[in-house]
Amino acid sequence: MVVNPQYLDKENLAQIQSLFKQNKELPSIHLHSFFELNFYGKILEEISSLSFKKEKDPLTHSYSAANIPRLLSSFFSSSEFKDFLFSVGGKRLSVIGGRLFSFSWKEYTVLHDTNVDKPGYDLIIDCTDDWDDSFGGSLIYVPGTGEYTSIPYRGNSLTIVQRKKGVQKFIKYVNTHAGKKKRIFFLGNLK
Amino acid sequence: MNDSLSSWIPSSYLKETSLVALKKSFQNNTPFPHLNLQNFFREEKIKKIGEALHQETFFPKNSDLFQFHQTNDFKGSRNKVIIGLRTFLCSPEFVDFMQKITGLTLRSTIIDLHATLYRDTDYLLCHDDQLEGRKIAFMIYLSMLTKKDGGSLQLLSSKNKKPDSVVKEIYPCYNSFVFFKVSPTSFHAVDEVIGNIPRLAMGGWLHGR
Repeated sequence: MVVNPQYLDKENLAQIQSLFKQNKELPSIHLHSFFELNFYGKILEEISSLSFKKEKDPLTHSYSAANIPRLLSSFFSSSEFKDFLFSVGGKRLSVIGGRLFSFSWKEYTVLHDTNVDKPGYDLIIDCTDDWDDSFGGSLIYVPGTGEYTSIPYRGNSLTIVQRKKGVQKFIKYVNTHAGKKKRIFFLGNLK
Repeated sequence: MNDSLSSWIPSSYLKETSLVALKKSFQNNTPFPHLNLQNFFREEKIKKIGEALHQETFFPKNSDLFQFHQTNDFKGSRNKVIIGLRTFLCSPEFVDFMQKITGLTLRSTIIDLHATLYRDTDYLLCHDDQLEGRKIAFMIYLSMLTKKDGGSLQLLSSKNKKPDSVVKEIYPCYNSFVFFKVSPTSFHAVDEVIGNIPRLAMGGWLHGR
């Protein structure tokens, strides 16, 4: 078992499902301390051995990306995770694609006409342990109308966001106060 | 020499020979036509403009593309100094001066004019400024920043009509007037300001006929 047992408890799962649906415009759930510490430590270890590749188009994005860590890939195909997703989303969902992203000073994404998300579910596994809001780097969801929603950063957290029609997202520019720190997270889609 | 022009701009910029040289520089500058004119306004004028801006309200602007403070368009300003500057910048005399340098056909009486204030960590990411009618983008700097302070106006080269890399950085210099030709490839950005020197500037666009 690699998931924090409190997220496998039936009563808790029922509560998580109801919380997920509470925000009608942007159904989402953000779970802290998601993995058992030992497993999370191993994920971080694997991440530190991965090679990230810089990708940049000044008009739309600047970041580094790496393929999904092997440990996360196996976890996504486990029955433990599939059952968890079923309990939260109320239907069978699988991880389809996704990559590990790293944002450091001067990196960002912007909303752009050429890069429009179709409705669906995002899965975010945050691996950023040493970060502060003042550094920028927030993952921000923008509904067609209404307020921006910033996803709280926290290492070892799992976030699921249901993007309805017109909902887009961007990563706020990382400023000089980040120094050499990096904002690292897995971002994938569920279907 | 035109009285209206010479009351705002030093006579050294207004000689026919200066205009010919400026036109040549504007067209030859890379990655796209631009000019950076130092000590552009007469000292007493720029001093009053700086003082007037301190009376204006700057509103926070924050999005995926930028973070800074900006005034409303000065079309509705009640400040006499700012109204005076705005009237001058879209006067037939000044527009004619700009036409001679840029070779573009510009409209007098129509202008966009506002002021921006960038503080620590504020920035503006790469974009092209294209919007119907805009021919010339201009900035009047009221601060002095150097490399360690960030805040440069970055001009990017382009490849296949897409921005490629920063090839020129213009650091704000008090009383400099910087302008460039707006085109589908006039890609530019404002580098993040680092530290406690506020970057105060006026900016806007001249329109075409």
